[in-house]
Amino acid sequence: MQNTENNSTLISRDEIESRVISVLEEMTADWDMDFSGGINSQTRLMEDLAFESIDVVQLVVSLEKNFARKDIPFEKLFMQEGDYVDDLLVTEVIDFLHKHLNNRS
Amino acid sequence: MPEIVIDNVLLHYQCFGEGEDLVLIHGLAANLAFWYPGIASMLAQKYRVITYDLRGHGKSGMPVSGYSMGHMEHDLQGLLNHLGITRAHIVGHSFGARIAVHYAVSHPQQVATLTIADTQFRCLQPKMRLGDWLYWQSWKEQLLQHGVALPSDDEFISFKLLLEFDRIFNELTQKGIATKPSKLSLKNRDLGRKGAANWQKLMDTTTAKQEFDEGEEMTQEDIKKISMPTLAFYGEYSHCMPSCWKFKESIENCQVAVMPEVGHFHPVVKPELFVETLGQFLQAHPFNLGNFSSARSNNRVRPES
Repeated sequence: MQNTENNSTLISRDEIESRVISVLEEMTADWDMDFSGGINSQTRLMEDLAFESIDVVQLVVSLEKNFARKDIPFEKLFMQEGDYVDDLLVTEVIDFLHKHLNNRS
Repeated sequence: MPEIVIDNVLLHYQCFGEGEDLVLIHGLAANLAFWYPGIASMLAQKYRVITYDLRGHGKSGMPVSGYSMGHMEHDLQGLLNHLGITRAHIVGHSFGARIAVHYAVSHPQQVATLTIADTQFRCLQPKMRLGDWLYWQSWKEQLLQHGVALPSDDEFISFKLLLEFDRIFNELTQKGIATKPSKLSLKNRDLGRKGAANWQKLMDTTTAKQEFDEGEEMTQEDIKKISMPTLAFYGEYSHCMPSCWKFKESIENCQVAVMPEVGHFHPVVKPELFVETLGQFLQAHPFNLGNFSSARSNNRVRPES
């Protein structure tokens, strides 16, 4: 896996999508899942991939490593209105990263 | 994922953020995801948050035996040594709080502040019968409506019983015939299918059950020795509340926070409120660098993530 060496470079949504999906594919490669058909932007983490909270930890750590950034506020992705979200689409993860990787707010 | 080996047991841990060191210890049948992403991420904005999977939990190793409180303390000490941490804020939930209290008694110099999130100690409160639990009647009515076989009112409340309730509610919720009452939530998001299977394996294939159930050697006199700033942080509906007031009575420098309308698993039910309350307590008690000018030893490592 490649890392982004230069954080000031804008990163395209397509690039993020392909990297998020490859992180998820690598993570779930040896999982015993009912889900089949390949991971795409409409895949749901909990419903389709049977993600549990410990898998969320691994996903976040893998994404931080892949994008060489440790300052992304992932709690804003996984929590809304003071509680944990029930599920997330892969596309929501991509949108979130697209916003935060290119916008240093 | 970062890990270390202590006495031939692999321990999986994670560090987030920068600042004073803050250790979060989860309870039985959970894993470090009890604290992450919500609580640990928010705290990591001001602290270096260290959290780990207890042996037999999460992605840590599961030896056939070695689950005593002594082993648990030794793991924590090994992790802190590995990270070069000589002083930290220690926060534990449930069984994790029990480890934190033991650690504060045996390693007082290393514990800058102690946060006891919802645990009970036998030396502080007798086992409670279900029938004596303030909120049992309303639970009971709901469960009876759905034909759930109920334990007797004389059964003692245990962690295992709470997990069983949680499982029942999850099943009913999935069938669409019940919604967990938010006021009496026992929501514990760490016992998914894999988590539950891991817990079952721990119970079935190791001596953990006997070792967890073995008598504590801690007395109220030991608890009275705790002198660092302490926060007893409980859920209003928790069966552990009697211990909360006993901690307040026994520890000279102890504040109490009671989270309204939640029970034993209050940190995951109201994570933002948990962080806000804990943050206020921690801010009031920063490391006393006057006495600990070198709060971290020179061999401190930067763990890989």
